[in-house]
Amino acid sequence: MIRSGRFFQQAELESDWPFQFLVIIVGMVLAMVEGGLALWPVFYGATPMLSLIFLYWIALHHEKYVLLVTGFLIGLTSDILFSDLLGGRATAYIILLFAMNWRRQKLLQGDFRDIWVEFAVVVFGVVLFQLVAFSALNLAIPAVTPVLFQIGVTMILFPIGYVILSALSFAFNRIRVST
Amino acid sequence: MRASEKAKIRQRRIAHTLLVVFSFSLMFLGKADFSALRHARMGASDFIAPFVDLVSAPIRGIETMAQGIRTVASLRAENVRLQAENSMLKRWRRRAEILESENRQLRSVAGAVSPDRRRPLTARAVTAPGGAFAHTVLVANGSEEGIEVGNPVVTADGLVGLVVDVGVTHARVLMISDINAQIPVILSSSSWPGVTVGNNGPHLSLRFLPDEAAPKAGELVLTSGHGGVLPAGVPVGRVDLVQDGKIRVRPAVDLRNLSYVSILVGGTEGIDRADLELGDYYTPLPETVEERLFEGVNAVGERQ
Repeated sequence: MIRSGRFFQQAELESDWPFQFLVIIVGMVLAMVEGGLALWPVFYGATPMLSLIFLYWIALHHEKYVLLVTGFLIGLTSDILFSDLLGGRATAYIILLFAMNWRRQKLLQGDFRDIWVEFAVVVFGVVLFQLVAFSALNLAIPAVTPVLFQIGVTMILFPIGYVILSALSFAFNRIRVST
Repeated sequence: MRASEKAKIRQRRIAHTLLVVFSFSLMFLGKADFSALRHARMGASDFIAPFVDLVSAPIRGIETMAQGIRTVASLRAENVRLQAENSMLKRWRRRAEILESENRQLRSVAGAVSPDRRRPLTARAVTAPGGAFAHTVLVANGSEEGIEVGNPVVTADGLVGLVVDVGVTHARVLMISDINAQIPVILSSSSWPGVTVGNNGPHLSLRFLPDEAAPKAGELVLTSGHGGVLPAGVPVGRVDLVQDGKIRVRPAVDLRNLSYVSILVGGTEGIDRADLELGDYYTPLPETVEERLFEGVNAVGERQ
């Protein structure tokens, strides 16, 4: 007898939910690490955006584990910790994820240089969005030097973060395959 | 495509649109400064702060280690410098004791009110300013310890800022370098009043000084006590640069290296703290009036 209907469908054992949840947690922890890095005088007022590096990498290589709400929650954590503008970075991250959906295929066909250049545009975009929103709502322009420093440091750290994340992903896949 | 899949896609699109709208409107709601949102934000900070503390423990450890290495490397030179500084401080202490006694006598003659209505409470800084858009720090003390909105935050070197949000276990301090911080001040040598304004950078700018005021580089800038929110006479910084009518002030406190701060609890009685903006408490005196000194203002900035 062939049993059919929704109650006899094969169970979905390979759910993406745990990984999606893990991505949110890791992103939030990285946002908190950004807060910790601010304790170093060298990064005072302009920490590298580690959560953005992570979000960009995961949206590029593992898009099924990234939901829009992931960007929102990671950005909101940053906003709560060190932004005057609640929702500023959260909105910027959501826009980033929309843009990544649109650009992903083209980026994956290019080499690392293309990805890095695109990331530079993304960092500028995220900071510029915050800067415009901040200036419009506060009717004041903050000091530009820390903003540029933050962009520069994030761009310099991107290749390091990319390699570390790729290596971790590779190791994680090997463990999954072997088990 | 099946109808159920179509419905799923439609639901997802609606959810995405709602999320974008919510996230965007959060910026405006946050700026509108609703009390409920402020409490929610401080509640979230209360929740997140212990995790940030935990995550930053290794980072703090590395910083301590680096500091230790730097200290060992310069131990001998540091010792010589400290001995010289110690003898100089002893001389200053004797001078301070003489001045303090003289000050007490003068106060008793003038009948001035002592500003010592506040109790210092030591608090640890959990975070530091990490973004270019806000200069605030979370400190590990909250309403449980009696901290209120408007309490000044200082170190031994001078003013750090002012408590702007209070949670149960943590409080948020707006630093003097924040773009929204406007501190009523006076120049130490001439007593001309002005306002320091932050710009989310390492320096402050000194504005609303009368034309006659001629600040010199290195001159100390102190809180004036206008409005009674901040005590009078707390060092804010030193004039760093005077150029093209713009006056730059370097903060007295090294804001990049804040581990512990003192919160001055109490002394905000009678001040409306519901919507605290320091600038609201300070009105520069009119340009046309000749007398621009602090006539009719006592030591805590109250009009007599």
